[in-house]
Amino acid sequence: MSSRSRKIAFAGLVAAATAVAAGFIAWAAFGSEENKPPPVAPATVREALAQKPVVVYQNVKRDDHYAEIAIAPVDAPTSKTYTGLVCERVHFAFDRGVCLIPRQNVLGQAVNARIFGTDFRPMESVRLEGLQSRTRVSAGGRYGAATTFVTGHSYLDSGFSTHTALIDLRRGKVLTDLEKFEVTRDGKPFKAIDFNFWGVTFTRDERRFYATLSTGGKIYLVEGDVQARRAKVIAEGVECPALSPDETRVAYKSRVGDGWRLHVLDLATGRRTALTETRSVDDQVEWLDNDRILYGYISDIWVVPADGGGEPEIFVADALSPAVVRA
Amino acid sequence: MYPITNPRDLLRLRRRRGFRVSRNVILLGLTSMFTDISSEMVAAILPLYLVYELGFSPLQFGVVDGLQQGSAALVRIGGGFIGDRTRRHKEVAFLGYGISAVSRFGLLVAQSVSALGAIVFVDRTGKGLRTAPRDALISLSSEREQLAASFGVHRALDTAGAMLGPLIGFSLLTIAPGEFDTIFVVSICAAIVGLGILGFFVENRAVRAPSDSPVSLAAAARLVSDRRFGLLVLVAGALGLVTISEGFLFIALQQKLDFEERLLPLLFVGMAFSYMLLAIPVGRLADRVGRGRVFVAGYVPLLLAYLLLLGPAGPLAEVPLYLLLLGLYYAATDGVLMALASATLPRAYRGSGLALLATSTSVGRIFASLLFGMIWTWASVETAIGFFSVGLLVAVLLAATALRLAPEARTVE
Repeated sequence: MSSRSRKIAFAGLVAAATAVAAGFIAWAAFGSEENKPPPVAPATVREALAQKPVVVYQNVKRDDHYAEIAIAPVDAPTSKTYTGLVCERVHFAFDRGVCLIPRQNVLGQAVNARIFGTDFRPMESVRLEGLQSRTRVSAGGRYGAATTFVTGHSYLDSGFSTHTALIDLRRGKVLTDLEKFEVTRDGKPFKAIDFNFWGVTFTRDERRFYATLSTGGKIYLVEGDVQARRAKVIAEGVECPALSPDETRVAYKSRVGDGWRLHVLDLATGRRTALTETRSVDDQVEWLDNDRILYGYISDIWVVPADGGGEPEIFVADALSPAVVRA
Repeated sequence: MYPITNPRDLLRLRRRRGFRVSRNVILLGLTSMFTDISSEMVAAILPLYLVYELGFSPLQFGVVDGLQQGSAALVRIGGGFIGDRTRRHKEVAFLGYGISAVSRFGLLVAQSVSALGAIVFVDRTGKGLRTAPRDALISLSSEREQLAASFGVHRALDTAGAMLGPLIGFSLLTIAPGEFDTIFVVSICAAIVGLGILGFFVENRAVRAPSDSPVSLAAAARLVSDRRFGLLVLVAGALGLVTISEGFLFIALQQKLDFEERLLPLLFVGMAFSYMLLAIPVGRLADRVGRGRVFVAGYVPLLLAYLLLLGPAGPLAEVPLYLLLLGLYYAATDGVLMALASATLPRAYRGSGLALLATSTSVGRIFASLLFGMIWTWASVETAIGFFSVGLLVAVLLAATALRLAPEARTVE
């Protein structure tokens, strides 16, 4: 190839690459402008929420409502009402909800925890560092918890670190980070530099919670006291706990081989029951009622009996992040 | 676009101005710049993508991250040797850049941990493959008297790409939030432009094999028994062993001065910026006053940075000083070491030799990170920095003595 024809060929290549890149950017920027959902009247949302028990979830169908939060009656989960609120992870109880949405900026990653009321419109916003992972609201809408994680920066950081913030939803303020809690194990102080907490679930009286603690390559279940800022280790191998409505059991995922399996732990007897879901589920599950469990898998919400019987079934397709609002 | 096409004009200009970079070096620099824009814009947003779009857990993310770091060193020596053996450094480098570019298409369709692990593995394989033949080509394309300056030019362009990439990635996310596919497409386009520059314009340099014997693996392995080169490999490994990775340094700095964690990525950009500005002047200085001297002296700013970290916490205005010190350290060591080795290696074995040297440095650094992490966890960050300060001082003194014993060769071949 002559020098001249090389230059022409290269110019063609650059022109083609620029055109493709510019086209995609324009399409994405223009497309996302168009995809904004229309505003939803607060009365519509309140009406949908009043049909308790309802399930609140994130729609992940690639349509105009992508990532928008919807409300549907528990017994007709597909007859949904869109709320106009867009989140990556959501939870709601009584009259308060937390919506985690990434803040994208040049200076790294952060998450906005938006606090919203019964009209599903954000009232306050709390800034958290890292990437959003889990969120929970206590039964009376008093406290919220949000887990974000920050990965390392060096060659050998193959691990990760998480932050779990407790949020006062009435005042719109972060109360504390779980890493500031005093932790005990077998009655003795338990402390290490590599403490990571995630996956909080609150008791109905809004005073206590359960959460995952990881340290030294092990996973623990801790029970914490919100006011006293204390927590104690009560079990091992329990990750992303979810307390049942009757508060007798905790559903969780536990590491098996290179994935997770859903289990239920009886808090009184310590008995562990494997559920019939055999795929690796990475989610903090939600109790539909005292007998059934909801969880997201890839892009659908599934339901499985909590007693280790039955089979998993799709609850709502193209949806994630379920939260059950009880009557 | 490239006004100097007649090599005689180029030679005349070079004599008049004193310093003229080979066209090949600038072209390789531009190739690296576009490739780095392409890879860094994805690397910067990859955690967001894995977690938001694919719903990865931190643990799975850790697995991908570990794979990303581990697999490069293996293929590097292979790439260097094949370039020497076939005398086709350009083609081997092209293959490496090409493999990385193709791997990026996979991001558009990947939906599982194993698929992403495979993509990352392929990308790093390409990176390992291309590094040594590219550096060999830079060194073979440069005048002996201007080796360090030429590497400086390449590293300045390369670093410019590493700075621009994340900025472009995050800007795109701001324009079109959640549209990761757009970023992947733009990244592929940048990689293709880089490949085009390499494929259409970079030229191989003729190398005569010594005494007509083909380049052999045994002879490549014997490189280390050459006194000068062997010492250099040892020195590079020893200095690598007492080098704290900048990731750790920045976290230590963040804890000392107590600024927001989200500013950490900005430190990397700042360091890259000072490295980019200093790479060429420090390279030219190395060519003039001696590459060995500048290389060893380059560890002094690093030592100063360690000592400053141990001192009392100052104002936030201290930060630019650290960035300047670290940029200076990179400018005086990274490309200069390659130039230093190029001057002692036979032309036929440049690729293999530079690969051996780079591997020695990176193996040292991997152990250094492990050790630093352990001391930090079990004792304290101050203990770890103190330990490494003493180690670095000893290593620098040893390196200075070693390079004095085996001064830079005056002639090669």
